[in-house]
Amino acid sequence: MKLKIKSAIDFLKKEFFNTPVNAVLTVLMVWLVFKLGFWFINWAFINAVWTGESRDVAQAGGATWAFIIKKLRFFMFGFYPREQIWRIPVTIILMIFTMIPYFIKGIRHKVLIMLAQMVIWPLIIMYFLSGGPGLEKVSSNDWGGLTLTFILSVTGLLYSFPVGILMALGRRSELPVIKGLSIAYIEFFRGIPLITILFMSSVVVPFFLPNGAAVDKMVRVIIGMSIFQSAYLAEVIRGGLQSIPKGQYEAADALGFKFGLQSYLIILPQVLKLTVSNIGGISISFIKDTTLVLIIGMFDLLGIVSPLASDTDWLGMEPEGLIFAGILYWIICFAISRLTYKVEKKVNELPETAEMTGVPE
Amino acid sequence: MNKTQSRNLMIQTGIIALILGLFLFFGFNYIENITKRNIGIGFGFMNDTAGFSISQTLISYTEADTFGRTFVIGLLNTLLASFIGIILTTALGFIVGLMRLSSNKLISITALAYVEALRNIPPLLHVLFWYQVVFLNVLPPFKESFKVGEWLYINVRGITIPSFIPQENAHSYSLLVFICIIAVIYISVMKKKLVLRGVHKRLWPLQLAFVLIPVAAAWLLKPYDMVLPQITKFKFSSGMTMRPELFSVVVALSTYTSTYISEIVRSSILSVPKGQLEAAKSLGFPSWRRLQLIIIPQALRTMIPPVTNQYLNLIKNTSLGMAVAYPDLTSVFAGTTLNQTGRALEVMSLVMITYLSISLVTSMLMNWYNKAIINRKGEMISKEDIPL
Repeated sequence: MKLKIKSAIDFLKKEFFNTPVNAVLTVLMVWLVFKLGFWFINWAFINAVWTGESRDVAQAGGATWAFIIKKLRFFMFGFYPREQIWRIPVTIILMIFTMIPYFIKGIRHKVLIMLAQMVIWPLIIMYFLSGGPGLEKVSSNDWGGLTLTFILSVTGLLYSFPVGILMALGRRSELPVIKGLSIAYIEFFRGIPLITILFMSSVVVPFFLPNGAAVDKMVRVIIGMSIFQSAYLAEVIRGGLQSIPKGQYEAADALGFKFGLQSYLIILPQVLKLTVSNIGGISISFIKDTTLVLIIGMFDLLGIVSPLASDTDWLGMEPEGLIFAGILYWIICFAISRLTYKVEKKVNELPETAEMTGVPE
Repeated sequence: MNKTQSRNLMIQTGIIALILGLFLFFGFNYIENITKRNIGIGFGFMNDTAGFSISQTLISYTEADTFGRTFVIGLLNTLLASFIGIILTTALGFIVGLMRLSSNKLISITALAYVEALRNIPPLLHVLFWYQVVFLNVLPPFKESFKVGEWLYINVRGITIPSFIPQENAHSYSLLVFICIIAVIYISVMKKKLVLRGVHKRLWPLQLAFVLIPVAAAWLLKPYDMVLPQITKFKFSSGMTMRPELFSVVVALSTYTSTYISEIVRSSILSVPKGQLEAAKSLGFPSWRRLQLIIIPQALRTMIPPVTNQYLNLIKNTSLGMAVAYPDLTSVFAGTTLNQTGRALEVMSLVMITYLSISLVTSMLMNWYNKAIINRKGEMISKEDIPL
């Protein structure tokens, strides 16, 4: 027993107190972590209130989680009418169903599934969320909360993919017009903040539409966000394209593949494999950027905090709301980064599409 | 002209025709729409009176000034937030990046927790959090301002400091300051060159002198008249106020961006060949000098391009200040001015072109800095140059 304590002390000395500077830093860190930790535990758990009907139950120095529990429906579904909420899970489940073919082995040309989704998803969303024959109409202004964040993220990511890939290929094209236009597109949209694009789509675009034609704000925003994301995606894919050895192009040329088939069968599979982790990274950034729609007056998971906290029963509950939204965003983004890591590992386990390493010189 | 060439020509003409067609279509729609709604066209509105107030202005501004001036005010506020943000985020990013490399597990794990916790949360949430949760709750109310003498007041409306009114000799004074700054930088550069030649001279007293000259001149010549903040019943009648919106934008963006910069710093320090560190150790450099003289100069080369990207992100993200009503370019010009004038297309084009130019200038400066580092002779030997 004595020996154990001694070796533990030795270990501490060696690891944390080996130099005076290190010792000071260790003490400082321990103090800081404990102080913040205690304060947070006190606030979030010990002094917290979990049940109640209004802000009167709030305790000094403690969180009022009752607010979150009472308003959970709004955080999840926004101001969607209560009786109609069942339509949201149905929409999401249907959208997830369309993903099944990706995981069935033996189905080839999975790109076609993606192209099909680009048509099917808007139909699902339009019929079930907005309403159609047999379903009550719900304005897209009432969509909100996590649902809106989900819809903006997945549709934005879906549409940005084909455009991003085309722009990346276009940037490497030999035709000056295509190349110039691609460069202009990518650099322009990467150089301006997303807010200005959202402003354009909400304020300026209506001026460009023919008289009487109106496009729903939601659609304009999704188009704007896809354009923004596709510029970033194009840069990532271009990075992948540049790292494909020249021999791959030459071999494909020698085998008589035309540009389209060559890109589809030989180049892009390798590029996507190389860029998995970067694509994951910009997708996470994109999900974080969907919060910007609150500035043009849409109530996504973050945007809904302030209308909920201005309810007269729950005035001043912004801290709880923001922290709750932050935790949800953290979980989503962290999960995706783990997922990306797993996918990257799995992709690299597959047999090499082209045995680059085994080619004799 | 062979078959491929003519085909390529046709494709390109087709694309140009398509784009021109779209332009014409949108252009006609636009003209039709604005004539119907009675909105003018062109930038003539820039000379009209703005008639709204702005909460924080770096240069003098009244409601009688023009819309053109609101553009300048917004731009200056954007640049101010970006500038402070970049300096803070670089410092924080370096500290956290070095902490992650510390051999002390406690420190490196704390740094890892900081990075993982902050970077998975949207930047807009950071901004709102600092504004609504921290600054509005922590800062004292106006009546109970925290005071430092008569000079500095801190309250929920921001930090108020004395304002400085330039006198006649202010111009020559700023020239003097400029010359002294150049001199200090020049001496540092000279010193490095001398060291390379093996000459070790003590030059810091000279530099100190050049720092002291402007201070002394300010004391003696009084180029600026200091006006202390005066409290009337509800507001300060004089003095310069930095709003809490500025702090929340700057603090939020610099902590958020520092998580990315710390990762860049960490990976580029790790990418310096291990032999460099071992060589420095065996030459007897103390640990801090090792980092300062051997490792960081080499790591900088791989660091600059990705760090530039982060700076650009930070600059673009200052537009998030709009959510807390920080009067930056987007908020003042693309927000209020656009609403007042209705000239959506003109205003938005100007804003986008301005952001593009800021991005372009920043990346040009960073490229120039990067080249300056790489081209320095006699200091760095790349791995390939070392004879085996």
